[in-house]
Amino acid sequence: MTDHSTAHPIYESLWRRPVPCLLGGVLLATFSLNAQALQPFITEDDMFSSLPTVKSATRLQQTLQQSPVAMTLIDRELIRASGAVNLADVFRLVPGFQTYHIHANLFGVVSHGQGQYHPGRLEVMVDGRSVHLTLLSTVDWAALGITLDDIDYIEVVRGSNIQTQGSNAFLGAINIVTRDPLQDQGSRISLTRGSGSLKTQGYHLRHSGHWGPLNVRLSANYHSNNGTGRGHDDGDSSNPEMRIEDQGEISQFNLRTTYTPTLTDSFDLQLGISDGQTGTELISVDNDYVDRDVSSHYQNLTWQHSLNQDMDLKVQAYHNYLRYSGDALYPISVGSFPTFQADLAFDKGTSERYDLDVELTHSLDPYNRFAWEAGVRYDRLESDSLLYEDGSISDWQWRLSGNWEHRLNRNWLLNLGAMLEHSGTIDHQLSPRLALNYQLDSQQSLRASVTRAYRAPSLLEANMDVQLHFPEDPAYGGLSGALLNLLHQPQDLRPEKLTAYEIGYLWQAPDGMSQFDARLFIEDIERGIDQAYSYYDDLMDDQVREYRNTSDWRSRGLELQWRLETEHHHWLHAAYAFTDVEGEKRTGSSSTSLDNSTPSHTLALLAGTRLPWDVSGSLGFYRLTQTQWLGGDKTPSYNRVDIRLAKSFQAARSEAEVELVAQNLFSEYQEFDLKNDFGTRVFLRLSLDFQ
Amino acid sequence: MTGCWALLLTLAGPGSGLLPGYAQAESRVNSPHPPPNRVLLLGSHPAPIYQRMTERLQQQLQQTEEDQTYWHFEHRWLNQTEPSADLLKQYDLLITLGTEAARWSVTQTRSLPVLHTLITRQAFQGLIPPSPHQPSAQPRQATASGTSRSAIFLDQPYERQLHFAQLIFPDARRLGTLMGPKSRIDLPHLQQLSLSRKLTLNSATLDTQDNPIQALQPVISNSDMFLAIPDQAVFNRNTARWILMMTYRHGIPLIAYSQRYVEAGALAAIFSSPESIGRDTADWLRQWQRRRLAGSVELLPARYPQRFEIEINRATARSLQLQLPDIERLRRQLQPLGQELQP
Repeated sequence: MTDHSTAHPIYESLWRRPVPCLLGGVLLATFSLNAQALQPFITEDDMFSSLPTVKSATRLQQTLQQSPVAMTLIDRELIRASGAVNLADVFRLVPGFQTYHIHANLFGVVSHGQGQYHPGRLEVMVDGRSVHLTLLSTVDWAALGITLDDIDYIEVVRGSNIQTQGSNAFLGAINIVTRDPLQDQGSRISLTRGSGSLKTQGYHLRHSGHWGPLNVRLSANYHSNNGTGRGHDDGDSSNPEMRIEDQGEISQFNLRTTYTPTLTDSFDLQLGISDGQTGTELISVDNDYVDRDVSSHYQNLTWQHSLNQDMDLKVQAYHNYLRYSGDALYPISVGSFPTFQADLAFDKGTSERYDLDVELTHSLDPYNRFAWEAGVRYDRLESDSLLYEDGSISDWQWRLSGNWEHRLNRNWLLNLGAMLEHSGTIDHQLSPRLALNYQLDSQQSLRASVTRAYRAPSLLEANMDVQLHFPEDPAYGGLSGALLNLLHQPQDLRPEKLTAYEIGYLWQAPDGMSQFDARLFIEDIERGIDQAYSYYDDLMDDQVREYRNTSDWRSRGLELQWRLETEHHHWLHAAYAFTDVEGEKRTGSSSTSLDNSTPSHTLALLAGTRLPWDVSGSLGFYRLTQTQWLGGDKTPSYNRVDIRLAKSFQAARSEAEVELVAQNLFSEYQEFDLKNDFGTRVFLRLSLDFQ
Repeated sequence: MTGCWALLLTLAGPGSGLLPGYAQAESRVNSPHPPPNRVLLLGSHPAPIYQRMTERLQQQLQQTEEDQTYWHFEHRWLNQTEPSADLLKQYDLLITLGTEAARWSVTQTRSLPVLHTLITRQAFQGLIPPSPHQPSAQPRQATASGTSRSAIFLDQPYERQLHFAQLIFPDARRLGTLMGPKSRIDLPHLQQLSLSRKLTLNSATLDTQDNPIQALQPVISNSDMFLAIPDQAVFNRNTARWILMMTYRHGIPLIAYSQRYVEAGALAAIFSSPESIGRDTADWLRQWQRRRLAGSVELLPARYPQRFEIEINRATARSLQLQLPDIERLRRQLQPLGQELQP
């Protein structure tokens, strides 16, 4: 049997070897273990062996009671019942998270406020593939290449999870798990029509089947809307009415295939492509919109291999590509010089990411489990507008993480995790976390954790360079060929720093019908990166924007989550967060308070029931209190009520459903930008599943 | 770890003569009294399942003063100190916890009676070949080798699993199952039992080099219900994901063998927890004690656990639109009072 007193040689080698040897080291070490002799009989360990559960927190298969972080699981039923049409809307159900429409087709999702035009402190993954865009340091929720129907469930880590998922998981992480080809059979077709100004149209086709030894799922969709339509600057109806041209359309196709050549090996290949166009407000010109084309594709291959009953290996390789294009030519006039045309659509270019990740999970004995991960990533940006001087930039990053779960005794569980990262924008950075879970009884557990985490400046933040080029023409005198700095990065950014403390309580009813989760947290963020003005000796206003470590703030608060189901087909999902923020953003000699940049209260209540005659219904209530959005407006509190009614019809080998969704039944409200009214939106969806 | 953990239910160690408690009990009952039963509990290492089992055993045998007087337990973990031959001579009975300790006892103990616990029927029969006069090792006939070894198995008899599956879903006519490298030997027996319960068994066998999805596809698409059979952990873990997905997709109930399986999405499971094995072991010891008092040296035959747990996933039941009977009723139906409590 295993001797507990000595460290396993594999783990020693992981920490001590230099990184280039690391991937090879893990692979060689694990392959050699494959030859371990198996027990000739079925044993008690086989009978009590673990089976797949939640994985996002530590990469270990853990129950919620063992997890070192607070988590919210959003399953398929909850997504359907929410009536969400856009994926981002689903995160309104997560306590402490805020979802906001910057405009009709641009969404932001943040944890504990500080919502920006391009929020970037959450890691978002689809089946473990990071979909964070280096080009804009954010996520494009409208161009992920998947639809709501492709999703099986979503794991949301509330709180920093850099220790497992890397720098972007600074304040939380979202892993969207898509449907395996084996989970559906036959075909599905669905049509969506929306009323009101948006006039949403959606078409979705899906087919699942098997082709020889391959199980395949194909999904294609088209989604379009006419945008917000009309509004008033600052939301003030006394201002002249203006057109808000934020319409959008997107076509997407994705394929997922599973191949299991042996009992211990499975391969998962995912391919996706999307192409569309969105009316996007220009950052440089208020209230003006330009059509921005988006085209993207991805490839993701995952190999999972069981080395033995205690050790699993997972290797994931993926490539993401996204390109934004579209010009916005504007006449520029300076003094008495002739007017010239300049392209003011800066948010465009190409973003590419290659990533290879090797993960090894190991149960050493009933008391000790480990998850090791080593990864290497190549990011490349190409943008004439955002990287004026260089035009393109690339960066190699590597990372190494480990999580150790140690059972001290029947009640106490310790989770120790750390991530070591290196990239071109930072040197080496170590982010550790220590968590203790205490099992009060079979239903209740307590959790306490302390986290130190660093977020490296994104490639764009560290290198952004936006300039206006005056024509080289004698008519412009001294301005001929001159460059006007709009945003110039001095390349002295330091990583953002987080120190977080939390206490959690979890109760799960023995029959699984109810679950309650409470979390008290303190998050201290230092050196928060934001845009600021600095003095610059240029030709116009002597100031230029740059990214700086300009903000410090402390968030304190409480999150509550309650799931309740009854035997009579009624259920409730409740999520509430109270957050108190103190902090400031310093710009030169002045400073701006960040106290109101997080809503004090966020509430989501979603209740559903199944009625006779195959009718189901749900009612959602969402409340967000007053918020000063960073780079946006100060929006008042709002209450929103959504309702969904669905009737299904069953036949021998097919099932049809008619679904009516009304979002925001009562008065209009605003999110992020006061001129974007969110009125009542009604959607009708018809779907047909058949063999 | 053992030092603070070891159980010492009597007030002195073995060989220390009459105990104060024993002396009091003797004067009270006023009858000739046998010496205490000296029992060694032996596990490979202090794993939680062994600790849970022995703690429950301790609770059971501390209920009465008489019990406390009769039973004297000690613990040893093989990864710390292996008991010497001299030490073993001081005990009346060895109780092994788990397969590793059972394997050790096969070579290290000669005359000491042994009760194997937390062991599967298959491991017991593999480690201890049947005695010449009991050649048959049919799964349903839990046999002991001679008189010196007995066992309380950890796994459930197939009859109980099938009965349970039929109580959960009485409409089932076609039962699907997947047998692994170690469990496939039981296939003829399972087929025979299914037939007697008017169930058609659709089964596939799977080796580690086989494609699990291709093996499962025809089985699940031709079954009304699926029974997961435990095999080696690597088999269990690598088939569970596909079995869960495919049975869910086809809308057929999945009956499993562990709480973990139910937590992962199986409809129901029947299994014996370490606590149940602890209580069964206490029963076994009381019966063994009565036999000894009656002058018999033969151990009780090896047997399946009499106590078991039932776990149901209500969310899965709702999604399958099944109304399940409550657990107590299921338990009563599975184990009519007294039927299985006799050795």
